[in-house]
Amino acid sequence: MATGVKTRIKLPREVRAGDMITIKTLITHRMESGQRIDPVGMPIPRSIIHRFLCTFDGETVVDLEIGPGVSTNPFFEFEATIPGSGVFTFAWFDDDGAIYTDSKAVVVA
Amino acid sequence: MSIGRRGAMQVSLGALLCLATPLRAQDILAPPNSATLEDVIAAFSDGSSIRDGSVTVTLPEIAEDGYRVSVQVAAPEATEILLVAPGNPVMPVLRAKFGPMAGAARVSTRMRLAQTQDVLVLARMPDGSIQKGLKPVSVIVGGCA
Repeated sequence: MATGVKTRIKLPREVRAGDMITIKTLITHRMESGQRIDPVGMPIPRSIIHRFLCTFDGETVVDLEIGPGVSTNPFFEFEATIPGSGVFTFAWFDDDGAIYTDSKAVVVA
Repeated sequence: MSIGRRGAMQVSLGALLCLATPLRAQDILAPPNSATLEDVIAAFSDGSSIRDGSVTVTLPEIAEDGYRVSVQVAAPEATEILLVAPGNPVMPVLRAKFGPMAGAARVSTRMRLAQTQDVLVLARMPDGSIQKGLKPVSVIVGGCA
């Protein structure tokens, strides 16, 4: 499990029911592509976040399957339309088996 | 957890063993590299016809740094979007499935581009058909993808 992994999530300050809201997420991860060769000539094994899942009260917002073509510190921005107050949960799945999670409660005005 | 003298010996012995049995490059790299663009498209479209549609790919025309290129893909009504970089060693970059809580079939990220290429986006529509969008991008410094 990688150390020092930080997640960051940005939601709009005010949310009204039925509004389309933009969610921005970031996780610190080196996203080693598996294509690079180390100074000794050995391939550096792949180590990436291969899946990202965002749900709202258990229902999927987006489910991303991620390849090594996504840059270091993967950033994702997407839209959600929510019917009322609830909790967003975010999960990043690492190649090494670790799952990093975060959640954000949203109170609809 | 503290590592005692015995633990340290075992770790260093393990490290030596790893060095003594080098993995060949192709063992690790073979599977992702073996897929051709046709394979990638066929795996996604699953036999459905592909036509040009309302898929938009937003990319800079010139990407100075191939290590991080901002990209937005959008296809109204789509249930699933696949972003492909045919000029990268591993072509599929991102596959997005939109659930019932998604607001729009749209996702932005930052991607690596190994060379100048036409970025391809495939979108699965609710009726099962596939729409595609293409966007050429010039890459100044290629990002090892």
